[in-house]
Amino acid sequence: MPKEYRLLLSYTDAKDSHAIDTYISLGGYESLRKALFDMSPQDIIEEVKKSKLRGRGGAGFPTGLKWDFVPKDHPGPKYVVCNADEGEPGTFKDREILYKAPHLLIEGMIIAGKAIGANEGYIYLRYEYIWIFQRLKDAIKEAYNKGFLGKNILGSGFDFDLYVYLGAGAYICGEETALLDSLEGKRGLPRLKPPYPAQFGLYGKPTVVNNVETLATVPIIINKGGEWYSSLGTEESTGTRLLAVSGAIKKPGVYEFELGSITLRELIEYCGGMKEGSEFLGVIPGGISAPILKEEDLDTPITMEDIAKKGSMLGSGAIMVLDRSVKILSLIRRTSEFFAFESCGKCTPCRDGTAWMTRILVDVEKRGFMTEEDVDMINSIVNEIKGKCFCALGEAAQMSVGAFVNKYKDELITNKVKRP
Amino acid sequence: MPKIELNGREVEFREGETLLNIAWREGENVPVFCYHPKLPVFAGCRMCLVEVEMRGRKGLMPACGTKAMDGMKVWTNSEATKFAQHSVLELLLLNHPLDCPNCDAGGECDLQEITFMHGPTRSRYKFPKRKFEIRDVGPFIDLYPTRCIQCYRCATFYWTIGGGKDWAVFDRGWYTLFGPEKDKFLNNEFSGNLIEVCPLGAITGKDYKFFTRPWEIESVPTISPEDSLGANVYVDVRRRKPFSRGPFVKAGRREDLHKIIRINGRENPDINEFWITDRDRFSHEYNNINRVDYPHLKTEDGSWFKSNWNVALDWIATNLKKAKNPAIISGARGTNESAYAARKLFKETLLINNLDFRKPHLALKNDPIKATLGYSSSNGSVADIDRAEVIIIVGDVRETVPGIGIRLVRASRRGAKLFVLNPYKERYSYEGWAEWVPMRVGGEYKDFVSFLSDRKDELMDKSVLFIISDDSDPNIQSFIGRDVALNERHKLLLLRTLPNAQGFIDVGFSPEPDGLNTKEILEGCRNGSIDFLIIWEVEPLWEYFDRETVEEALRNTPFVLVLTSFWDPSTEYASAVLPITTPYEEEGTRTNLEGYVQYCKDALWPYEGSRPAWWIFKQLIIRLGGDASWRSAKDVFSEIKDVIIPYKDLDPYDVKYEERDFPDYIPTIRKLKRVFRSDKARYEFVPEEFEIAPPEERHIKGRILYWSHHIYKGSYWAFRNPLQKPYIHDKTVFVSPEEGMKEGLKDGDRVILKVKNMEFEVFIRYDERIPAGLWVFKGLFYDVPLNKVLKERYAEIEDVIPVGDAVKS
Repeated sequence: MPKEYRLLLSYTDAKDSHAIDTYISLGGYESLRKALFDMSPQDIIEEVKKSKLRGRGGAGFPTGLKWDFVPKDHPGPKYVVCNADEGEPGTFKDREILYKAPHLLIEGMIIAGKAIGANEGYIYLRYEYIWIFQRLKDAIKEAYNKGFLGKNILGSGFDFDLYVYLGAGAYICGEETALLDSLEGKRGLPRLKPPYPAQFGLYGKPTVVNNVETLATVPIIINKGGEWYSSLGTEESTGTRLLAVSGAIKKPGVYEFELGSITLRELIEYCGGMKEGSEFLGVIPGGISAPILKEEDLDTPITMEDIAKKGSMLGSGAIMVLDRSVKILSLIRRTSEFFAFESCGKCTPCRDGTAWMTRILVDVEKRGFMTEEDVDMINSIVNEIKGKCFCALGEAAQMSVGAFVNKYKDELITNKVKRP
Repeated sequence: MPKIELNGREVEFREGETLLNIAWREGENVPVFCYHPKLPVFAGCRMCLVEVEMRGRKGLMPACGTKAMDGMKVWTNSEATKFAQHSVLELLLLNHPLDCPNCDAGGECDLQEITFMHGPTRSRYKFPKRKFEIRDVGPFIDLYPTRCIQCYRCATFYWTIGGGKDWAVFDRGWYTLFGPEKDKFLNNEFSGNLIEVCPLGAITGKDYKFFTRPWEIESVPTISPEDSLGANVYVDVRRRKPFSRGPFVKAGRREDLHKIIRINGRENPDINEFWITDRDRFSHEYNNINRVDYPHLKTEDGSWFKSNWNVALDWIATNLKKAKNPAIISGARGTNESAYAARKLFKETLLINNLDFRKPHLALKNDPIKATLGYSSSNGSVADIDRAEVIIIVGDVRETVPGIGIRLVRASRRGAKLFVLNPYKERYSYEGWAEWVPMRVGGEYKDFVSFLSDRKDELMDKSVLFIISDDSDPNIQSFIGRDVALNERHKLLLLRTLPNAQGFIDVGFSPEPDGLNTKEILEGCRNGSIDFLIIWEVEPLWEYFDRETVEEALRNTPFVLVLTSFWDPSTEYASAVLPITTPYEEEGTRTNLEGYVQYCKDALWPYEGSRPAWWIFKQLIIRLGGDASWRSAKDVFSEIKDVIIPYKDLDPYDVKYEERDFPDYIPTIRKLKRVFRSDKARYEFVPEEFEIAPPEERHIKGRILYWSHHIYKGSYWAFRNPLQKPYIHDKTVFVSPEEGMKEGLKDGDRVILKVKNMEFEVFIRYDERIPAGLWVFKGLFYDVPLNKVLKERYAEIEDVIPVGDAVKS
């Protein structure tokens, strides 16, 4: 049985782990000193590049590369933005860090600021985490009091200010450019890329947008070295990964594993196995956007590339284990409804396609079974959406709904699904 | 040069070109909805998806938002592209009600055209369609949100170009709803452009509502006469054409000859780009209202005799011949040709220089700009707004020449510093595009000079553009004139408050060197020294201050000839009234505020017996023994070219345009195919030394009644339109809420204003942009004769007596 590798989570174990004193006693803010005094901005970027750290938000873009894209000699301000809009259904891993180890994130953001030459940072917190809002603000206040934030940090001459911004509850604002629009006070719509945020981001200035987990990993990489970090995990997916496991298992929660050290089946066992009397239906490996995997794919190791080979994605690391008590038709309808409700309405395929699918699926759910024509219709709409959307929301909708319908087609059409 | 492969053939392109530009240039069929050449790229509708192969990866990319890169392979007609177009159209049509038979856009609708080209023949959608209620958002525009395909063109235009703040996007997904808040009227003078920007009939104009079909329309390229910007417009009229179809056109209705169906923008990058203001767009219904049809002569018993032209002109010429000291006043609303004919009648035939178009209180012996700059004209241009680092505006631009607003908004967005010097906050300072520098009424010059000395650091070594309206304090004008003459980086844009004032100055419709100006003419009329007065397209009783002098002058003049299109009150004093054509009925040229001389084509037939003014002056010249053998306005202009030096090289009758590579099959973009250009008159600025004696400062304590312009009510034509009425508050004085509260008045209350022992009944309206102490009356004095007490722009209010409760309006 593989064991957990608690790299980030080790900071959340202690009582009062959110307090700055606890964090400092665990060796916190040491990497900040190292980054501020011993390393040049380029050194930090090189170190992160060496670690082969990939973004933990879903797309898995190499973080060091992203930082390197920011123009070095840009006059005027640059920004670091932390994407704490953890809206993907099933995901609750960032919450763990935000609530229990906020200083890990703050330290990561200051180091990222130093690396790209930004003097201001924003944490875009999703509205549903309003109960963390005050704790984050308190943590930032503590950091200011200790001199880790503000003017001339620890006498190094580097200034960094950090603000928390509470979103208004829109899934689309987890998309980085929509997040920037929302942060500017506009309607949250994804922007046309290129230009990428690294060139034209917040207020038109070079900006780095990173996930909470990504930024929280940075202090550890600086502390222990990029080479060490890249020795963890596999060649393509290095390091550890927070996995938010939920569903019909005995011990749901946030676990941290070295990437590639565990398969999906082993993970379910590690979490106590399936609940008593429940029969396995499928597992969604990366939040609701990821296509569902069935029993035969359970021996896939948890890495980005292996899960991608199975036609799904690790995404945000939200692993949802479904059992037969779930009505598949309701699940599909609800998924489609979610995307239709959250579609921002900017691009036609996503706006109209998801809503059309939802209407069909609501009808189907009322009826209780699907017909051959329904499946063809859904597949036809999925094809009309595929590859035509402005951002990943529409693509996620068609991937996930399409996978549900096609993988459980036989059961749905013949109405063989067990209903409690 | 870099190359891409477009549909299998190699095509060269310039750096930065998008795939859409290239495809359209090459004549490929790429449909679009959200893309508009004059708006920022949105790339939301996905209609322009094309299949692209780059570095071995194939995918669909939006042509409008993808920059071409060397080695790209693009297909606009492959299976994948066709499937994308088909799917996007099917999805767009899910909610579209397909009410084309009663939609105003039918026939010029992008969705209709593109569906016929690429769309599915029937919908597979079997559920109820999304519905919204029709929304009334003001007197000009109707919204049909049910038809909307959420392309965001309207929002993009309204926010980035129009600079408006009251257009919102509500909800999301396919319930996205565009428009102002519930029960609110749009408050942006560019709102009419939404109709043109909308690719289908979700936003339609009320003037065009259920009236006609596009194939019955002929678009006449002409110039808007409403303000001195000279916005380029297309005037749509319905004429009998051999190829026209439809019941009305075949029959050929008589009223079609006098009816403008709608007005649209025309692209001229130097002047109005493509956008026109609501005043330009919706002010056309006056053409049939209260018109003078035939020459009218007053008989001895005081009744009107409807005459024909020969009799009338003979009689007038006889009287004019007898007159010892004739004079003419005008409102600078005619064409250059007419002004030149009037000048020829007076300066060359009668040999008298009594001709002026300025308002009496502005008719100075020494034109401040001419004296300091060498020629009475702007030396900057409207395009300079895009270049200046600092823009200083004196006066209310929105109410005088609103069309330059799009450039002001753009300048503010680009980071230029804008200052507005005005007694109250006008649109640009109120909405935050500019900084407001308050000016005290009576102490304008001092405030202006102290502003300049306070902000010296911000203005130093910067390119500065002064935008002043020509009715602002003459001392400020001469100060700026001298500054601009001395400093190369400073430019002046003089906003003319009368539409063709620049043209009238250029062709010599001025009392120089020794004639009487408007003030002296009126004085002369009053004391009897002027015995023949021509009033040409001006309503002195509504426009001039000091109404009693005007009335007395008209009463004491033995012969008053009124050349007008409308039965306005000064015709009561007239001995003869001659009907003249309104601007859209007349051919000619107009000069805009920066000197562009532009050709206005006649779109309508002259109303009944009305004639262009130059023709009337020509007949008078002939009857008085002068020489005028012009047969058309063009003949007059060729004579102007010989006489007027700045117009020497101009040829405005030859309208120049270039064709762009835009496709024919998208109606809203087809309009932009032609780019028009105009030629500028060449002025010579010969600066002179000019001493300025700072004026005395006058302070009025207490409540000040202040007169200001109004975009609709202040225009000689616009206020006559029924359409504009909701935006024109008749009999209204605007005050700040605190001032109103202090007086114990509510919004909409009826009060009696006591000024100089005269009483006027007006309504009070709150306006938070006005500072306390100022009571602002706007526009022409046709509703309340406040010009009886206003000898200049302001007067002191003695008392305010409330008379009634708030009136529901």
